[in-house]
Amino acid sequence: MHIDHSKLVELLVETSGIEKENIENQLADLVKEINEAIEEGEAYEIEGFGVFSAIGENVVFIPADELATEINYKYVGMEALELDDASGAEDEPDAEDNDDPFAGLLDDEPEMAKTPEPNMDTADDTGEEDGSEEEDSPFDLDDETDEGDEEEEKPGPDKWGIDTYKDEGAETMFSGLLGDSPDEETEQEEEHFKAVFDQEDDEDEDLNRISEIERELAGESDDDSDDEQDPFAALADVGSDPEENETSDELDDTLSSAEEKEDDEETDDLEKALSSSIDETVNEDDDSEPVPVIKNLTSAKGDKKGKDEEKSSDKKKETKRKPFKRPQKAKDTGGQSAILLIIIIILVLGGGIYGLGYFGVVNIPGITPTPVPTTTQTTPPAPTPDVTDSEQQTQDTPEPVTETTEAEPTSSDQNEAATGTSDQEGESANNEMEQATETQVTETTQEAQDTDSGEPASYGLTGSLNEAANNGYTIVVYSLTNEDNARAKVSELTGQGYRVILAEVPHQQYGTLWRVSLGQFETMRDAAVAAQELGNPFTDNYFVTQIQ
Amino acid sequence: MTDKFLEALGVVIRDQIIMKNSVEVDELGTFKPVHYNQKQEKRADGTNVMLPPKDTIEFTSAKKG
Repeated sequence: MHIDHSKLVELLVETSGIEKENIENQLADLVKEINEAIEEGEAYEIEGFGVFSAIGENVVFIPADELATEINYKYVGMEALELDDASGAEDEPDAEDNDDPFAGLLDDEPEMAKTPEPNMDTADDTGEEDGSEEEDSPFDLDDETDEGDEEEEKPGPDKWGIDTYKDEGAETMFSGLLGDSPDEETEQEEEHFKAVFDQEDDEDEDLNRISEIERELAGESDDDSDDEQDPFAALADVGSDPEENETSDELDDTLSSAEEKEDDEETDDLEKALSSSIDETVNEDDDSEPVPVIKNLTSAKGDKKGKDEEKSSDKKKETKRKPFKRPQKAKDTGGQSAILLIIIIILVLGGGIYGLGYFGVVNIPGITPTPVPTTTQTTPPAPTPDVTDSEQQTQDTPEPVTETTEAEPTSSDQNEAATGTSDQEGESANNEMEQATETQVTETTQEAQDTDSGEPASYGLTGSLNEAANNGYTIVVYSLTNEDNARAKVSELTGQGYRVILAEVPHQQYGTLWRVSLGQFETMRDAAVAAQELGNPFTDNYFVTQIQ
Repeated sequence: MTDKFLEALGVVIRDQIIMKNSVEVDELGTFKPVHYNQKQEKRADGTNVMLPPKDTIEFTSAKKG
């Protein structure tokens, strides 16, 4: 219905008791002021009514809170219903009904919160392994240092009573390749190996890992050969190995004797030859030939020395490429077994907890199956003491509340068996619904004395109220401030065969609202489907809410 | 304009809107009731909610912007 200007004036006259002309004048003044304010780009507020404001060229009216609440009084206290509760989950099988316009209502399952998986981050493990490597390395160095300390006690050339005149320059040149005096050679060799390792560290890491994997696969156990391949052990062996010490001492002896015998020129030649041979030895690790200069000078000792140099260089090569082997193997084996053991324990515990939750020993949300409120497959239908002919016919149809009937949107047709026969008085059900304002549900029907409490839940649009079905949903069709009018509606609708629920809703402004609702439905979707078939005058003027 | 007039104006328009009637004021515009059905909505956190229905008032200016 449309109220035009003249009708509005009449209503204002009736409401205010002011004369019509006065009303018209005041209304005209009001409109004029509002338009002027809008033209000036300002807002015009009528207290308790709303604000007129201009947004661009459009005039917008923003109702005051009081007016908005009063207009929306029917839905006061209603809050958003979360659909991800247990009842929502039960609706999933019903979504298969193609004819159901609300099939997609609850289809959108929430994204399951994925339980965080156990932190099996390999990076952490790798980091731990790396850390173990880093932790192991110092021990190797310590071992080396210890061995170096031991070698100091071993006899050297100075202690053999041999005149060991040493050319400082020649000693420095040989320091990286051959054993020197125990006190100095350790530091020099360390420097030499540090330099070598720093250069080839990156390349050697890959080689080391590959060699480790190969050895692990081959099942190679720790043996003496491993000891030889330990770089730091080998580093220590350079000075501690008696043979090498002997070799280095022999070389030193050779050099010193040769220098004593040779003239200055020969000495110069020797130094040049030595420097060239050292360069060759350093630059060409694979060169297996003995240094010719040394060979010429020392004859048989030169051969031996050359072989020793070759051995030492080969050993150094091996040790460069296979460091940290022994401690790593022990650590890796223990760490892997520990990780496997932890994984197995986690899996066993997880499975056990899941099993406990699944079988209900422990209540775990999401795992423990919740009891289905409509476990009424084997229950008898609602008693219908006074069965008419039409009711008798409809009773041949399947029971209103079964799993099969849940999928049928028009449950009202099937529930007519119990129409108006055995109404019972309902009580407010303890429910976890968040609509706090609905504190009391008063179900009033004409025959409210028959109670069948204890009966399994029986849902439907029509028939008798079922106390056990108060955990479901209902269709609110009236929200009235007058209780008498509400009860009149209840009587009228009950006479039409509906299950009618009268709910008392406290309201701050209106005191009490009386909500008249129809039906008891297990799910919101069932209620929405039934509401679609209500027809006039409820077609667009209803809402589904949970029965409290 | 008296307070009584303004109060009466608010009451009349409110009652007519509640009764689903639209109210026209010359040279100002028309107030009409609008009903929003309850609807399903997905929140930002992924949960599905059923928003309650709502009755509200809308205003259409007489001046066509």
